[in-house]
Amino acid sequence: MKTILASETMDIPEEVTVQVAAKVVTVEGPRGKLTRNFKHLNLDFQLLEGGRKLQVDAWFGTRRTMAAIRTAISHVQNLITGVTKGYRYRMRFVYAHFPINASITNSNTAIEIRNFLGEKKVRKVDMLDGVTILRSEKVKDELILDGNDVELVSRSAALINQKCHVKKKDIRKFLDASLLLGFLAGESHCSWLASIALLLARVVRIWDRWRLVGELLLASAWRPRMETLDLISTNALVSCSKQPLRLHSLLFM
Amino acid sequence: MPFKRFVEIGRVALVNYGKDYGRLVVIVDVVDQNRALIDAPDMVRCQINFKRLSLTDIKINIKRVPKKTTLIKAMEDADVKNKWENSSWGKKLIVQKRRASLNDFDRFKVMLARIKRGGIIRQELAKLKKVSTA
Repeated sequence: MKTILASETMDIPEEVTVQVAAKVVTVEGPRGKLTRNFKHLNLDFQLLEGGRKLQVDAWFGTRRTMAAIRTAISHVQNLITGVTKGYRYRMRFVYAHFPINASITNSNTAIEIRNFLGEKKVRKVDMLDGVTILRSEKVKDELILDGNDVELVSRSAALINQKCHVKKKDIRKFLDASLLLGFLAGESHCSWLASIALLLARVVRIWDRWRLVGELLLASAWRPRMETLDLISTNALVSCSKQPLRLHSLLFM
Repeated sequence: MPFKRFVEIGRVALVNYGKDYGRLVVIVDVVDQNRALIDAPDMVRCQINFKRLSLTDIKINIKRVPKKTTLIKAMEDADVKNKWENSSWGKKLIVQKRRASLNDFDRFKVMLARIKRGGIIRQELAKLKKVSTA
């Protein structure tokens, strides 16, 4: 059944200007300008109140098109945070024996990975448009990807991750990888969570696997969300059990 | 960019298909998602599919399903006829109707008038060209 009209409105913050013309949304803010094309959607984009509100309408919409209203708004919200705060994705190198060597080339827009699992093959990953990459100075084996467009930054992180897949081996045993370990919109910092995580990391036993878990807990301190406490406690529980560590399931909880 | 002409009670529309092709009607009620009840001063009230209607900019002030006399009075108050005939859409339709109703002699007269008009325009253009090159 078709609903005559379904619409949603979102507020646009002060320092951002949004322009909409023919389903192409351009967002401009302190960090730059981002554009997104919504021509594949059957929606009506309207700026109200002189640019302070964005309204998205679906006329005679099916369930599918009505679902797309809220995703379109979320996409625009991501554009806005990208242009005001930016996106930072952190990745850690995880290795058991062969240290993963990474060198950042091309003025922070490309990375070369050597010695992954002792292989001679050099993996080169070019960052996508507007994404910069650097090695973190304070933390060992950490990469920081910065950018405005969340799609491009996360895709660059995924590209790096996928280059470092282990082939023809038992991946439960060969846990080497470069893994996404948290992302931030903005520069927020949870120091009290960090101290709790450090405490838990000391409590957790120091085997090869468990050291990784310790690093995970440290890194998860960077997640500025309340669920992190639950995350830490479930991490600790999993590490105390005798099952083979499923790293991927741990991380993407 | 958003929609400006809405299907509502009192919206004046043009029938663009069917027996009443070209008639200006008023939407007096909405039957369901696809059909409306329409009415005009010189026809019996009936239902019609929205696809057979083209909405105009004109809207009159009526309540749901008014009596015929009320409807006629409301149309007169809103001056629908004049607004329509003075709008560019309305004017185009009038011209189309006139052209369709010409007989052969009228078309001959039109041809002569067009040739004369073209001649005058070309003379003026030649004058302007002379001035610009001089």
